[in-house]
Amino acid sequence: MKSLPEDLKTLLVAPDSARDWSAERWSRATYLAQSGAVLSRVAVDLAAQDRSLPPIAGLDGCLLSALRNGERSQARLAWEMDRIRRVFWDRDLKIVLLKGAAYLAADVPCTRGRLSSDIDIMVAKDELANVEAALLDAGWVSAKEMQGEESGDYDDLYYRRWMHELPPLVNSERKTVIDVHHTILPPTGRVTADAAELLDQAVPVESDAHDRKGYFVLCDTDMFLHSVVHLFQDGEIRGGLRDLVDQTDMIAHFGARPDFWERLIARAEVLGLGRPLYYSLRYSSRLLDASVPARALTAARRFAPPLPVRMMMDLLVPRALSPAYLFDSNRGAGLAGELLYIRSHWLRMPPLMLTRHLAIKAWRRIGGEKTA
Amino acid sequence: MRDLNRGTLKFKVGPLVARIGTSYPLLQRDFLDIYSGYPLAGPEEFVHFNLKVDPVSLLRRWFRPKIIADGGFIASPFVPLRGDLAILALEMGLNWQVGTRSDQFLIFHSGVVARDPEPGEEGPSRAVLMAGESGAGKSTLTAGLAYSGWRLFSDEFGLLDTADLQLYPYPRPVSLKNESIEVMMARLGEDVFSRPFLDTLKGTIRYLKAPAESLINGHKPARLDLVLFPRYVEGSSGEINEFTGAEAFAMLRGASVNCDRVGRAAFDALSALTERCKVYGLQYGSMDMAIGMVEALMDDVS
Repeated sequence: MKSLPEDLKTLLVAPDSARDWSAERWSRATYLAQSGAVLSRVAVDLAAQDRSLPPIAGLDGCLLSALRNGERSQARLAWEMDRIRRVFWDRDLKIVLLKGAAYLAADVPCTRGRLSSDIDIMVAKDELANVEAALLDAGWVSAKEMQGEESGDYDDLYYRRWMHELPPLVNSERKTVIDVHHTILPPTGRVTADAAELLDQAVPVESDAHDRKGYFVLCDTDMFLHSVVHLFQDGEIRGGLRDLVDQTDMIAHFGARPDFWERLIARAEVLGLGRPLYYSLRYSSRLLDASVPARALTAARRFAPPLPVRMMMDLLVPRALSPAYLFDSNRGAGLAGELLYIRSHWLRMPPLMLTRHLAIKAWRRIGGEKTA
Repeated sequence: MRDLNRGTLKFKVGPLVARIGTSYPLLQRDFLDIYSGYPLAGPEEFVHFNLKVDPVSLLRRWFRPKIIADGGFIASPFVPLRGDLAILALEMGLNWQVGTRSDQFLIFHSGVVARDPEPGEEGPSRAVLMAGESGAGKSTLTAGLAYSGWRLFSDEFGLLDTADLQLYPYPRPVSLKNESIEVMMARLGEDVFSRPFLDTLKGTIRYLKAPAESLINGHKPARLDLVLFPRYVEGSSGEINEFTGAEAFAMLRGASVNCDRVGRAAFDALSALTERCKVYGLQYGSMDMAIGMVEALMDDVS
């Protein structure tokens, strides 16, 4: 299996060994890290070490910039959580933070230097309308409206009818985007997850901090599985290096808890998320040296796809996850990305619906309209 | 030329290094014309920004050429431009990268020039930063000062190091528009200008090349002493008004591009600058008048 670009991997798993690199190597490696949206995290890790950086003029500035970006992203997220909490302060409502917000609230190590543009929350499906109304009342508006576009009826309908979330809402003052989910996978997909089960197992955030108090996060196995399905089931994998890095961190963080691996495998079975879990454990351990115990890898093998599919994924996934330097030619990644993009849609909806969806999108593209 | 083709050309703009590639012959010519005096960066230098500027497709290379800048972002902010305006795509692409990814600096959207100490004289270089909305005349005034004995730092961005409060040069070609072109060409002659770029979104543009002196000393920072909000008013006999305290702070804050991204360090830097610098609104009716006023105000600060 192809691996990640070597220097990028070094920055992610052993940044200390990058110190004697030449300026040329640092230039390329920081470019790749920036492309993969992990430069801020790398900057945090480098800053946390005792030894100072090599004396390459300009490198310190580049890393300081990335460090500040990461801090600002985290601060914005915390403030957004605080503001959203305020909208619902007098309601008895279980709000589950997802992704970046959850990592921040639960102090999962992958929160360091993590760039989040949106905030994701999940509520019970029968609360959706209330939650949307409350947000609209408190200064959020539909993202389409914000861009001054006539709300595309098809897009809106598509979200509401077939997706696992509301059309995105934007805070009109801060321009921050919130995605309100009622489950973690589209109900049309080949694989769906039982939302009630996820909500039921969610745990309260233990903190008195204003921005976190009162929120819930998914329990450890579900938090991990959510990242996994986002990357390997729902998403298009291309550009998803950051998600695999999150998973690698969660593996180290949660993996030390009692029975985590047994619980994880069992939970994936119950929720029907075995296949994406298999991919996550395979690629995080192969590409980022994630510390997955051998018994867990063995246990996950029962979720493996047929051999030809696995071989195809082994070929495509590392290419789609590897950013390439601007001045190097990079045809393989483009093709791998396209194929995985088609795969992501295939997994998302039945064939007839997919045909219709892609036809509408293509028609619009011909007409010069922007597509979602 | 060959380096541009292969994308191995690296050049220095103040403290920053950019690596540029283009296969489009017209852009290669324009680039080499405008950037001929820039110091190249060696292999031992860190590259901050990478930019490719090429036709959007093979067809569009020959037929109604369209050119687009590519910095390797997943969601590219750049739009295609007409082939003959390719240099604008490069300029905007580079400015965009610097403006959005250089948060080690507190960046002001402003023109900056500095006065270096006379030979044998002690003391720091001292900078004046000129901010204000586009069209107020800051580029023109920056250009005027840059060719009257001041060192050009930038007509686009003032880069402030938040640790030592020094301004760093970002000496780019000065983009002059419409009437400003006539004014400056009458003063400086045609040799220091690029060819005209017609029918851009902002009308006609000509690039005024950065003076050689500002490129040779392009790495030397300066202390910020004076902040101006210039405004050209036809027939004006010259007027200044001083801003202090919270008002000065708010004006400076308004001129900064990335204050919120830099965070706490930006707030501290702005507070310190408000304490230390003189901040004036400046109305002028002619270039010579403005240059005289800036010189007098700078003498006054010391």
